[in-house]
Amino acid sequence: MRGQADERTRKKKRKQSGRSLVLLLVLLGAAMSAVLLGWRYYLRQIQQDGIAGYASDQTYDRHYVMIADDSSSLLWQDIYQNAKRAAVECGAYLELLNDWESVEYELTDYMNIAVASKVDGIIVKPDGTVKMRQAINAAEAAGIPVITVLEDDSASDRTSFVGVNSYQLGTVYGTQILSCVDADTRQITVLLNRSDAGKDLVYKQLRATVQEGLARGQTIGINSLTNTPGSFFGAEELLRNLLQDEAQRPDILVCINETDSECAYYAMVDYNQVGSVKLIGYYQTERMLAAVQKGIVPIVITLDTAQLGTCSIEALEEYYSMGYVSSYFSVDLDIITQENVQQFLETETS
Amino acid sequence: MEEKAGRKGRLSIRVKLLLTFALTAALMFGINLLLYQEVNRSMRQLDAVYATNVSLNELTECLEETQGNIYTYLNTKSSDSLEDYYRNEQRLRDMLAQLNGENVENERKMLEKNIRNMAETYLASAEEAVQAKRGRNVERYGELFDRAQQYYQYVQSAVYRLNGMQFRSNSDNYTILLNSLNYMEIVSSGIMVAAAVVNLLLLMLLIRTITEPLRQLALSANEVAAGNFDLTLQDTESRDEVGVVQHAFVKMVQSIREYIDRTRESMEKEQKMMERELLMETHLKDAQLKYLQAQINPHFLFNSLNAGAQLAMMEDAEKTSIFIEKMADFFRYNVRRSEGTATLGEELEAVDNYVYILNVRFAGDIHFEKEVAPFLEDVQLPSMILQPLVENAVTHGIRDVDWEGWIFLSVEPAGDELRICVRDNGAGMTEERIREVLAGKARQTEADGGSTGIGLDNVISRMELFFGRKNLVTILSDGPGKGTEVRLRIPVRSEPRGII
Repeated sequence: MRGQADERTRKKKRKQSGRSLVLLLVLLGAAMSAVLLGWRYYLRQIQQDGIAGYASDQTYDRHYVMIADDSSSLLWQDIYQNAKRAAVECGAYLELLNDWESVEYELTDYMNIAVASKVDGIIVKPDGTVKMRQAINAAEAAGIPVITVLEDDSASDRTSFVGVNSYQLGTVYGTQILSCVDADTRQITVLLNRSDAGKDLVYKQLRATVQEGLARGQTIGINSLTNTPGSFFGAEELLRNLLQDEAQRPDILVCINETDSECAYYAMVDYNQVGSVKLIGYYQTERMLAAVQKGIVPIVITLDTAQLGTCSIEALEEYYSMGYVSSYFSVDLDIITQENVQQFLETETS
Repeated sequence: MEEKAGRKGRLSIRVKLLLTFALTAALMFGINLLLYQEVNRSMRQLDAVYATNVSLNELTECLEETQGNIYTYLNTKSSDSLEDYYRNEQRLRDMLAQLNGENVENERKMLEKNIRNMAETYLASAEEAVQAKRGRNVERYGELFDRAQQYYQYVQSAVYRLNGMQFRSNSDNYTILLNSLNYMEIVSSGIMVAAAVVNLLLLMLLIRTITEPLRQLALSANEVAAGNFDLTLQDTESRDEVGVVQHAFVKMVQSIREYIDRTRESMEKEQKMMERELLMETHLKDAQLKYLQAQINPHFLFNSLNAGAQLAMMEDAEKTSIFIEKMADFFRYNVRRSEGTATLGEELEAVDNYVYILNVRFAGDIHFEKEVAPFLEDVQLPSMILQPLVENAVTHGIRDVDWEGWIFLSVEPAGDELRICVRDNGAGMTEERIREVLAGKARQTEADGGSTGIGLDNVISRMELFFGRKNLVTILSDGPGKGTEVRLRIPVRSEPRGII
C-alpha cells in the first residue's frame, strides 16, 4: 500500500516537474521570440527609415522643377512644400532645382539644366535679366511650359504667371504706408533688392498711391534704396548707414523682400530705432510675426504661399490637360497687423 | 504514455547524453541561424541600397573621353577621334540606359534621370556639332560645341552632385548598418545568454534524471553497507545503465534479505536442536544423579549386605540370606550398569531380583511371569530399562488393586527387532494419561518412596537416544481397571550403539 502511494507521489512529482519544465521552456521561448521579433521589427524600421526615400516605389507621370533664387528662405520653403503637396496629388514629381554645391550656377543655368533634363514643367521666379528671358523662351521652345511665380516676365514666352502683380502689390503697400503716415512723417524709404527686378514697378505704384493719398499740403519724401549688386550682405551695411545717419533716417521703412525685412528689423532693434522708425515688413516669418505681436513692427504684408504653390502646379496641370492655361493666376495678399497676428501665429504653429 | 515512458526509459545514458547535447546544440544552432539570417537579410537590403547599376566614375570617364573625342575631332577632324567618339558615345548610351528614367519619389533617382536626359541632350548637341563640322559649317559647329560643352558641364555637375548624395546616403546607411549591428550584437548576446541559460537548465534537468537514480542508489548502498536491508529504494522503470544497476541492486538486496531469513531460520533450528541435546544431557544427568543418590557408598552397602547374608546363613536363616543376597545383586547391578549398556540377560536378572525383593517386601503379592525366547540373552540394550517398566507396573498398576495382581514379561524376536512386552492387570490407564506419559508430561512424584527413581520418560528418552529412532515405546490399555501393557521395540544389532 505504502509502495503504491509512494509510486503515485513519485508519478505526481514527475508530472509536476515535467509540467513546470514545459512551462519554463514555453516562457523562455516566448521571451526569446519576443526579443527576436522586436529586434527584427526594430531593424526593419530603422532600415526602412533610412532607405525609405530610395526604396519608395511611388512613381509619377510628370516631372516638374522649381527654380528659386533663395531656396533656403522660409518663403520658398513654404511655396515649395505647398506646391509639392499639390504636385503629389496631381501625380507629378516636383523637384527643387537649386544650390548645386559644385558650381555657382545662376538661375539661367538651372533653367538650362531643367531644359536639358527634359523636365515636364518649370516653375521659376525670373530675375528680370535678358538671359533669363532667353532661357524661358528656350524652354518654351523645347515644349516645356514655364510658370513664373512671385515676379513676372511678361515679355517672355512664359506660359503663365502666378503671384501678385506689381500694380496690385504697389497699391497695397501704398495703402498700408498711408495708414502709418502721421503728421510727423517726413521721409519714407523703400528698400529694393537687385534681384527684385519687377520691384521698380511696385515702387512706382507705391509712390503713386502714397502721393495720391496724402493730405493736401503734406509733403513727404519717398525714396528707394537699392541693395548694392554683387554684395551678399549689402543690405545690412545699407541699413546701418541709413539708420545711423539722422539726416537720411526715414520715418517709415518699407521692405518688399523677406530677407530685407528681417535685416531691417534687426538693424532697427540694434540701433535703437524702435518707435522712431516704422517698419513695413514682408512675409510672415516667425520673427516678424513676433515683432508684430509685440508692436515693434506695425504691418507685415504677406502673400498666401499655399495658394501660390497650389496655383503654380494647377497651372501646369491645366496646361497639360487643356493644352492652354490662363496667363495669370492671382494670389491673395494678407496684411498682418497686431489685430490679426494671433491667427497667423496659430497657423504657423499648427 | 506508459509506452512512451518505457521507450524513454530504455534509452542508454550515452544516448541520453548525446540527445541532450544534440538538443542544446540544435537550439544554439537554430538561434545562430536565425540571427545570421537576419544579419544577412539586413546586409542584402543595405546592399540593395548601395547598389547602383552604373559606376558613376565610369560614366564620368566615358563622358570626359567623349568630350575629348569631340574636341579633338572638331579641332583636327581626325577619323580616329571620330571613331573613338562613336565608340564612347555608344558606351555612354549603354550606361545611360541603365540609369533611372522614371519619375519616382526619390531625389537621387530623379537626379539620375536628369543626368540621363542631360547626357542625351549633350550627345544630341555633340552629334549636331559633329554633323556641322562635317558640313563645314564653322560658325554652327562652334556654337554647338559651346552648347555641348555647357551640357557637358551640367552633366558633370549633376554627376558630382549625385556622387555627393550617394556618399551622404551611404554614410547614413553605414550609420544605420552600424546601429543595426550594434543592436544586433546586444540582442544576439542577450539571446545567446538566454539560450545558454535554457541549455544549462535543460542539461541540469536531463543530467538530474541521470544522476538522481545514481544518488538514490548510492544512498541505498550506504544504508545496505550500514546493515539496513529494509530499503525504500524502488525498482525503476528506466532501462538505462543506471536503471539496470538499480534493478540489479534491488534484486541483490532482496536476495540477501531472503538469504539472511533462511540462515536465521536454520540457525533457529540448530538452536532448537542444541536445546534438545542439552535437555537430553540434563535427562541423563538427572538419571545419573539419581543413580548416584542411590549409590551412596554402595560398596559399603554391598559389603554390609554380604555380611548380613553371611550372618543370616550362619544363623540358618536361609531365606533372609537369599533376600539379602538378591538385594545386594540388584543394587550392584544398578551401580555396575550405570555406564550405559547391558545385555538382555543381565536386565532380566535385575528384573528377577527386583521382583524377588518386592515379593519379600509385599509378602509375595506380586505374581511375575516371564517368557523369554531362547538365545537372546546377549542382545545389547540400554541398561536399566526393563526394571523401571516392571516397577511402573507394580507401582501404578497392581499395587493398589483389590484383585490379585500379576505381571507378565515377554521377550520375543520380530524380524530384526526384539519385542519386549511388560503387561499387568492393574489399574490401567486412560488414553489421555497414555498420551501424557508418552509426551513425558507425567513426571513421577519424588515422594514415591518405592521407586528406583527412573521414570518411563527417562526410559523412552534413553531408548530414542540409544537407537536414534522414535516410537520405540508403546503403551496400551483398554482403560482404567483393565491393565496396562508397555511394549518396547529393540532393534537388534551386533554392536552396541554407544555409551549413554
